[in-house]
Amino acid sequence: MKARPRSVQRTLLLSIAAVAGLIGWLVARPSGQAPSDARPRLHVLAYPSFLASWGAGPKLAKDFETRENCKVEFIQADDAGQLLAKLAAFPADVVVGFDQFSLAGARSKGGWLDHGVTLAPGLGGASGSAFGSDRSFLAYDWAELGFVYRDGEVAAPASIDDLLAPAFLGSLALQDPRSSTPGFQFLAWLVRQKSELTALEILRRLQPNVHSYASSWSQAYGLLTKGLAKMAYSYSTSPLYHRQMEEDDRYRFASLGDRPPVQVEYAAIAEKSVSPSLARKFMAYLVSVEAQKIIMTGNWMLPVVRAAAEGSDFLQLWREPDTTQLQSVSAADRDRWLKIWAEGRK
Amino acid sequence: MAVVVANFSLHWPSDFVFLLGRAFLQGLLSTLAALVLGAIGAVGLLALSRRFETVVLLPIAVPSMALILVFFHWFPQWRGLTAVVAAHALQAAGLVAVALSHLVRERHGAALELALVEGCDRRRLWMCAVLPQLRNEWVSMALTLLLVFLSSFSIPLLLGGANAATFEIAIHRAIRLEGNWGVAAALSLGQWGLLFIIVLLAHRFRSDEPPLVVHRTWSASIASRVGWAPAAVVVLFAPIAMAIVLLSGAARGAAQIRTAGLWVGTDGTALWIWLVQGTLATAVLGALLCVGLLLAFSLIEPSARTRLWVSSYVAPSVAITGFATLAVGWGSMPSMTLDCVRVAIGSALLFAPTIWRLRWNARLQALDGQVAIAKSLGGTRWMVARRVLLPQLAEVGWWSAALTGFWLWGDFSIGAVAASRPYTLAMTAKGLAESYRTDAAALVTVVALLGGALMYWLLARENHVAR
Repeated sequence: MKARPRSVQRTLLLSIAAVAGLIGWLVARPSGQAPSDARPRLHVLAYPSFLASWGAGPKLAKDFETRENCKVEFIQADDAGQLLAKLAAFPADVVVGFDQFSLAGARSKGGWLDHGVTLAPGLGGASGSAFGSDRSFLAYDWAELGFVYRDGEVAAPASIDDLLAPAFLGSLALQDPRSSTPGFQFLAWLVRQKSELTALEILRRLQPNVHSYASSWSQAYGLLTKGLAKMAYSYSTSPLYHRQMEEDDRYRFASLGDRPPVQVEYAAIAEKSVSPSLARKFMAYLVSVEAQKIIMTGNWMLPVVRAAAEGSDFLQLWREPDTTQLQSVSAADRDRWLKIWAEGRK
Repeated sequence: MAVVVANFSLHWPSDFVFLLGRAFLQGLLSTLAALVLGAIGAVGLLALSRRFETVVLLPIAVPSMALILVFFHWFPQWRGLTAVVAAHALQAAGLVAVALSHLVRERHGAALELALVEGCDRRRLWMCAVLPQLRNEWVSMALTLLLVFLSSFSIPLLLGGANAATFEIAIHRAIRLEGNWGVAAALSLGQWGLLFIIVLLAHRFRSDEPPLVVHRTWSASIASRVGWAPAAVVVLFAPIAMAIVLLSGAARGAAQIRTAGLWVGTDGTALWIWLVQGTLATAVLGALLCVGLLLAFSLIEPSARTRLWVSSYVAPSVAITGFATLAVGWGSMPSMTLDCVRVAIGSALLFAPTIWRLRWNARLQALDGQVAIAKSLGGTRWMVARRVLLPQLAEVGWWSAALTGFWLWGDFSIGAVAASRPYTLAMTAKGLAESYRTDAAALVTVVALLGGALMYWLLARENHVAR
């Protein structure tokens, strides 16, 4: 094979041109924005369903960008349970999506700024409880958890013991508590209701009825909507989504007991934030009535500002949780309970 | 990074023995199933035109998302160890079948003809003549497959269920779920040790026979008596299933994507353009980095021992490589530029050893004589590089860029670890598949494959120009 020098020159020139063009393109348009976009940027870390184009995140970002003349850029964790691990590698100004259990880890890790939002009155329900918010972590939505199913496919369970019946064989889509916050909510609720020893026994007996432990809520719920599982562990607000967005009235919510698990979601400002003042404005915006309405119909959760739910179907689901339903968990308990779960699955 | 590194201590996870057993069980079962399917497929391929070889190689050549979608569509309930084994077997069976059929055609044609003349039937021919003669090749192939399956990432990630089926997934989870770099590093070291032992074993069983020579005795009549066309079904199943699932899914996927709002964002921007832009930038940068890496390695004129080491080097852990790329721009606020650079670097590091083994090493070896002559005539290192190596490596360079680019259009493995958010078509397809929007995932995968094919064609075309 005899090569022509012209070909080599051509190869080198093309390569250099490609590299130069690519670098120019990337530098000029880092996120699909015009080069002249010099607006301040706010980096928000959240979980997939919050950031999906049909979720609350993009709508909140658009509204906030208009109000503050800034640019909101999102960072996506695989699930809410993985926010801290993601934050370790990808710095962000605001983290959205802790719940009362992952909050314990975030608190013990430290590194959060005062969000600057006044917590009462009006924030929270009639009691102004603020859903467990403090100076670092601000609650922005909440909902009860239970099992969502389609009417006519299975009988509604009223307790955890009902779920052990052979009628539910291979039909429950649950979440992996190691990676998913609703998954840990279920585990924590089970342990607290029944004691650790009994919980282990129930998990073992429940195993044949579990279709799968999905790594995130959206995966587990996808199993239900796709018809692969008959029940998914989800929120009391989920049937509202199907009714309002898909005009599908078949979805039902089964609450297990009088004091079902409640998930409250929190946002916080990272200590390493490069735009703390903009981040504080975002936190204040999150609990404004306008943003709460967006979260209600985008994230399909109940707002923490009751006024945002007035006049909507969401208000019918408002059963304000007591403090025991908002209890967190210590790191040692969390590790021990996860071991129980792993043991129960064997 | 320094803080993180300084704070960890190596330690095994509490379920290490279970993980080790499970990873080996998965690897051994996948290998066994791939070899059995491949052997049956080889019987079929020998009776068919060699054009079918391209078709049966598709499952191993195209990004694994295509095969994963077959499972999401046709076997939606199937997850866990057996699903991973089945997917691995379907992915590699075509490669095994092609390799076996080549060996039979090109090494044993004459012996087979003799056996047929002596009146041997097909079954005895295979069981008593062909398969026993290929003992070393079987073992070598089995060890190579075991190597690949033990370090597999994409398929176990999406089909493996709640239990890790490979060390890679365990490493990924240790860092992603727990931020436990100590466990990840220990697992990574353990995996490298295991893979290294297998590489050494694979070399021991490497065939010492001379390069393949096509026997003129191989004819259509022998083919029809040695091969049995219907057996090719086992290796044709995967490519046909992939084509059906991708094309039918893509047709339905457009509506699903409209519902999901993937085409247009809330601010009116066309999201798919952003995704194509991200994919293209990563593919081009990754291809250039991969070729640059291989070219730089070639130009330093590595010794025979160094080349052997690189040839037997197993591609590094996807998870560890991905997380290591986070050192680039550590502490900086995320952006698409940073994501793109990290994913491109990680992918180049992952693909370079494979591409080296596929073609680059042989090409460089073929130039050794010319380099030696040029040096004996007084050529300097720069002159040898400019006049001898660069012109003659240009062809394999373009081909490598084409292949890396094609793979990067459809690969999500490094991005799943190193990117701040899904910004490529493949990463978007993974997210859609995970939430069971499988038709939309099929459409996005088809677009990614078409983009990759176009890039391959354009760069491979330059390969011919360079030639």
